[in-house]
Amino acid sequence: MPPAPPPADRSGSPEPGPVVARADDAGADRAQVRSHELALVRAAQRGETPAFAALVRLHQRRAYGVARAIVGTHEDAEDVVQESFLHAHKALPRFRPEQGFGAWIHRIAANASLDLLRRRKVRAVEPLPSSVAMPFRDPAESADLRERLEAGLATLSERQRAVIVLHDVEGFKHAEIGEMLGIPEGTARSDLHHARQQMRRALDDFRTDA
Amino acid sequence: MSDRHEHDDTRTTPADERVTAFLRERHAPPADERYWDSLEARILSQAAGGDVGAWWAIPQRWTRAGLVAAGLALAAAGLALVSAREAQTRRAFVEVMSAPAAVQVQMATQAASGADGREATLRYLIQH
Repeated sequence: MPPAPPPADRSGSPEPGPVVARADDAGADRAQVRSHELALVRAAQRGETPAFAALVRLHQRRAYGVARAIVGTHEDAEDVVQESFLHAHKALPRFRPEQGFGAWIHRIAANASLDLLRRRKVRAVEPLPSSVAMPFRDPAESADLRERLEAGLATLSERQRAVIVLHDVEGFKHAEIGEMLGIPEGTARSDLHHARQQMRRALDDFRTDA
Repeated sequence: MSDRHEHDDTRTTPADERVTAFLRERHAPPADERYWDSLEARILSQAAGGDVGAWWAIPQRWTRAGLVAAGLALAAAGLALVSAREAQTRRAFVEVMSAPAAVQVQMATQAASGADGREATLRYLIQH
């Protein structure tokens, strides 16, 4: 049997209280989540399938985020997530649980994504689904903005694109991105800087009242 | 100014916010919970399939017992083969020794006389 999950994350709770107390609570929650994950990893290492299933459930969205940031398309990201968890399952007996399963699966997903990119030198840029609404009231303005942003994104290198998405969308730190992509932290920082500059340039003369 | 400061993008502009909103929407994971359930199921099924298919991944303790059993089975099969061959040889010897000799003699005589007849015919044809 996998260990019982910790109580739900209370960090978004509107309950009033001193900042320090809330920070302590958050810290305690994090520690509890970590110890729960540690128990899951150990159970999975003993061959308990429900424990491995719980780990997949916990980390598949974030692993998808990492893969999607690097490979760009949904289909490829999905393949990478599957491949990464299968790799993790095989390598689980050799994994040291104190390393942190999340960081480990992100590195595996990043490596699998980079491998996929190496295998497929040419990658088609996935068009933005029509259901995605840009935050502008005027559809023409929204279409123009989307076009500019797509064009701006197309000027970025694969690595710059991965860095800006991993940082600005997925919320990873420069050091974490560097580790995932196998580049120094400073390079990740500089890639982010240049990617942002190019994206700003794409919106240079764009004016809106929204 | 150091490289770290030069590339320190902590300030955000309205343009950055638009870019981030665009990237977030463009890279949004599927929202449908069923998608994640199905992905999880596929991963677990593949992981389980890998275990079942890996026939070489039998537990170590079974390996020795399996090898001993295979060795014993091989030795038993070898013994059975040898004893069957011996029995067959013995049976054939007994059959040969117990067969009536007259038949063999008679057959030999018949064969010999038949050959002589053919030779006489050939000689007659060549001479005439």
